[in-house]
Amino acid sequence: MPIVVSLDVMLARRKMRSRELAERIGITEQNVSLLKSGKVKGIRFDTLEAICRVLDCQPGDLLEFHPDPPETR
Amino acid sequence: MIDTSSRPSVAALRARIGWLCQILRFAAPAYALWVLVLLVLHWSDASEVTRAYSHWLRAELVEVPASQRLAGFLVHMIPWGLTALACGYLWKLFSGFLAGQVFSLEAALTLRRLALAGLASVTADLVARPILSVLMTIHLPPGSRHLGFFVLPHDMLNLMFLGGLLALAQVFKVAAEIAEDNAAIV
Repeated sequence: MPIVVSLDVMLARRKMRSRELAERIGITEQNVSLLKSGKVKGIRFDTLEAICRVLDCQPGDLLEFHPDPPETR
Repeated sequence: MIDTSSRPSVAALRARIGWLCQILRFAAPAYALWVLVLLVLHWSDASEVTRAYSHWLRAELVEVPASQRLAGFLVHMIPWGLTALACGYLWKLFSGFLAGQVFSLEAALTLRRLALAGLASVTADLVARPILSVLMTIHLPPGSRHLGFFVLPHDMLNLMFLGGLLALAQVFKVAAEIAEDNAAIV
């Protein structure tokens, strides 16, 4: 998927553990892990807002667009 | 896979229908056992079998031999076995609901299996009736034997109900797929 979640990078920058983030934004640690690994189909605006508030960052710091390489013939 | 069982909406649903799930869960094996006891009592009573089949076939039957009653019991065990299977699926479905597995693909498939087992049971019961009429009169002289087939209003009601349940299972499956997609949004 071309959308890459860089939550783990931001967590490392803020020296925060997944468990603490999960507690502070009110979702399960399992869902934070799924989000970190990009194994989710989407993120709700209120979850994104809570993460940005806790980690003091912008949505663009958490989500990146990496276009798929064109298919080789 | 994302776990939805701990979600407040699922917990609220469980609190609302938990008692009903428990009742239905225990009613399912109780029903299967009840029917089995009635079948054993029916087929072990020679005069009752003779009276019942004389009434249904509108014929004067002499006492049905034990071997034919045993065969009749075994034929009756086929629809009963399918009913027991449906009851097993009912147990599984409501146990899943109690565990918070609502709108899951597994629950939708269990509902589908339940409807199919129920439909198979009703169909087997309908097919068993002419077989039983032949079995119960085969000891009579030629010309007095019967091939009886009858359908009761509750057969149609059962078929309509189970057909509806099968259709509902398909709708439920699509809803479960949508719910699974939605659960993958955090």
